[in-house]
Amino acid sequence: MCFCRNWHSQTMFGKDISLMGAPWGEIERDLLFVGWGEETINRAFRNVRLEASRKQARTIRSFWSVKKAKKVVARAAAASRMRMNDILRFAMRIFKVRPGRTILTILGIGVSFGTIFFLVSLGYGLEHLLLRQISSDESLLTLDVFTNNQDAIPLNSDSLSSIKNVEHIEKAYPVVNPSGQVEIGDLVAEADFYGVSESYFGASGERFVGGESFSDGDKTVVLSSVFARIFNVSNTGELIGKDVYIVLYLSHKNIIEGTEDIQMVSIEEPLRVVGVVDDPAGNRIYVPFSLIANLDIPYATVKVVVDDSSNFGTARAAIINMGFNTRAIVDTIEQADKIFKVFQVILALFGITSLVVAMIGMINTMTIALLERIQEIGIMKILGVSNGDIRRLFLFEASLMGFLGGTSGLIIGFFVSRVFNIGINFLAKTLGGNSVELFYYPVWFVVVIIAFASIVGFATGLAPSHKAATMDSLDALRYK
Amino acid sequence: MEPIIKVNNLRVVYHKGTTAESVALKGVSIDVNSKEFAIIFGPSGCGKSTLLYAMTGIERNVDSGDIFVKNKNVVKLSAEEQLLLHRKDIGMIFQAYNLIPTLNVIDNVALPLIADGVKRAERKSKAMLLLSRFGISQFAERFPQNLSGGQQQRVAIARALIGDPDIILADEPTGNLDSQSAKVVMETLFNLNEEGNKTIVLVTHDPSYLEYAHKVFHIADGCVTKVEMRNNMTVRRELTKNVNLPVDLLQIKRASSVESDDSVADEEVFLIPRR
Repeated sequence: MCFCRNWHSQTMFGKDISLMGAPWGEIERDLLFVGWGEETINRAFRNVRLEASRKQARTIRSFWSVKKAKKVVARAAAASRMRMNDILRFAMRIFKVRPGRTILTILGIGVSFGTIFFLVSLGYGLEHLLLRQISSDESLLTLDVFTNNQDAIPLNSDSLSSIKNVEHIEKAYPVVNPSGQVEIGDLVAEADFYGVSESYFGASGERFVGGESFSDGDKTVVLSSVFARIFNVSNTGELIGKDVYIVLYLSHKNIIEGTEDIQMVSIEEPLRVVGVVDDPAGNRIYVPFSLIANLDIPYATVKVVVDDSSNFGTARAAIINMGFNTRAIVDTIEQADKIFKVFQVILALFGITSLVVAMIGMINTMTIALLERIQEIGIMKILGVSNGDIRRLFLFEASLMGFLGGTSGLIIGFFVSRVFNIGINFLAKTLGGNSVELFYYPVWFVVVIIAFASIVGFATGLAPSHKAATMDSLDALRYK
Repeated sequence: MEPIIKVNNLRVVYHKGTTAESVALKGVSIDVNSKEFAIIFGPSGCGKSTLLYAMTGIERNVDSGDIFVKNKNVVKLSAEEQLLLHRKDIGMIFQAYNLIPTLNVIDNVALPLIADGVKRAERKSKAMLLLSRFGISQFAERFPQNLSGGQQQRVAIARALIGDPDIILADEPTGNLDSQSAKVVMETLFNLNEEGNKTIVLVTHDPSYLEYAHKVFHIADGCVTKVEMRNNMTVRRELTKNVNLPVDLLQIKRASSVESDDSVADEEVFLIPRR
């Protein structure tokens, strides 16, 4: 049997195949059935016949199953290809031929993606920082109610109960804000006092640097962290457990005489410090509202918690109708969001600009690489490398450069952001501020950067690879 | 017997329809039989290279005429068929060697097999056999530019043979070589024809090579002016005696033929003769 020598002879071929026992008729029917056109089938079978030369003779002999035969027919229809690892190996030559140019191009992509990565992670970091500082779930549902005129529209226990009657309001509690003195041991300091209920801490988004909040009815206080400096304690934690004595200044207006009396009220019992909240500037002291409720101090604000975010607007409108003013963290966040949106647009513009520059550089590199290799393309084509493989090779090179550019961009962006963060924190510490984490790296963004960089690389390779694939092999071979 | 290469009234026109139009071949007809050593001889610019490249089917400026290679009309081949023709039926040798400078010798030799998706181990063993046959296996890992011209041309011949084609087309293969290397290359080609039973078509303008041929096509100005049959077997016999190849020829089998399969075994033998 010698069909290999005569593979061009169709009758001979047909005879051989039938000898081999492959169910060709059945395969053909199946292929027609699954929608292959007559033309495609003829083409595929012609290729099988061609392919059925030496190397596949053995495979075809074992064609007892239609399924397996179909697989080979489909593969042959696509014409045989270079192996993926060969394409990879050939593509890696970009590091051998002109390593300097390749690395510079990759660095160009890397710097542009590094810039994008730096800016975006800074944007996310700042947003993260803000949200962590000011918001807990309850704080987003909280409304501060206050009055501009304590005489005309007083905010007191009567108005508190009418506010509590407004629909959708889950709870409402008063905050009083007298000034006064605090005494620890021999030291006395001025302070702003806040009479609050225990719910206040959850709603306001205060951050504890030590200890915890008090419970209503306790004889305890929470200090702001500035008192560590005032009372000369090295560590804020050391404040916890100390006993303090407090004196409140209460003002009483005499409307008729137009005078104001200050009354000093001291609380005789010592109060124990149970928690310290983060505030290096304001000397604030929180005391349980119940402890000073009987002093009949006008309310500074009433904290209102709405049951659901969808009812926030209605509840707020109802309270404003009663004549009070309102303030909410949500407002701040909405404003911050607007700022971040602007920031993101600016950042996107920066990123896109640098990306366009890098892409032009990469197209340039790919075009030059193409020009340098025209003769090589001609040789490859004339030796039987298919146009598709040439195209794949160029596309793979470009995608590889994009991928490596994206990866190096992540590394560059990460290191620059670390250095930047350290610098900022060093500056903040010398100026007495807190150290902060300015950057946040979402995992999805890392993945998107790499994927996008590869896609960009692929896109820049499209035109050169097309040119290479469709080039006339004889012209290419003779190119000087 | 059907000729293995049959060119019928081939007309090749460059830049057709423009003012730069030039007719490279004006109705050329030639036949080359299987196992023949044919030389296309003529001055430079006469169209002899055009004729040679047209036989591979990559010449796109064919105006009229047919070229049959192994009974297939290469003017009308599909892209896939042309690829397979180049991978398996035609080996090409060029004046400028046309090795790829960024691939090492072994990858250069195996390139037609790489294009065909042949596994690495298989193609490597085939390439090594051919390289050792031409006495250059010690350069397998080197890059072409580190080899002399003669060595590079031998690499190129090994590459032309890797797909075990029946036909070798050579375009002035000695043009860049010194006389000693040129002699080695010519004797190699002669031997491939004489004992390897390959059909050889050689393009040259050097009349001293004509003695190797069975048949010489004299071309001038795009026309065949004379077909010279050289049936002087004594000359060839003389040549056979004088041929002094760098390495003794060996009976070489493909590596894969070790797993014997009788239906294809006769195909697995490299067509390289025993001395």
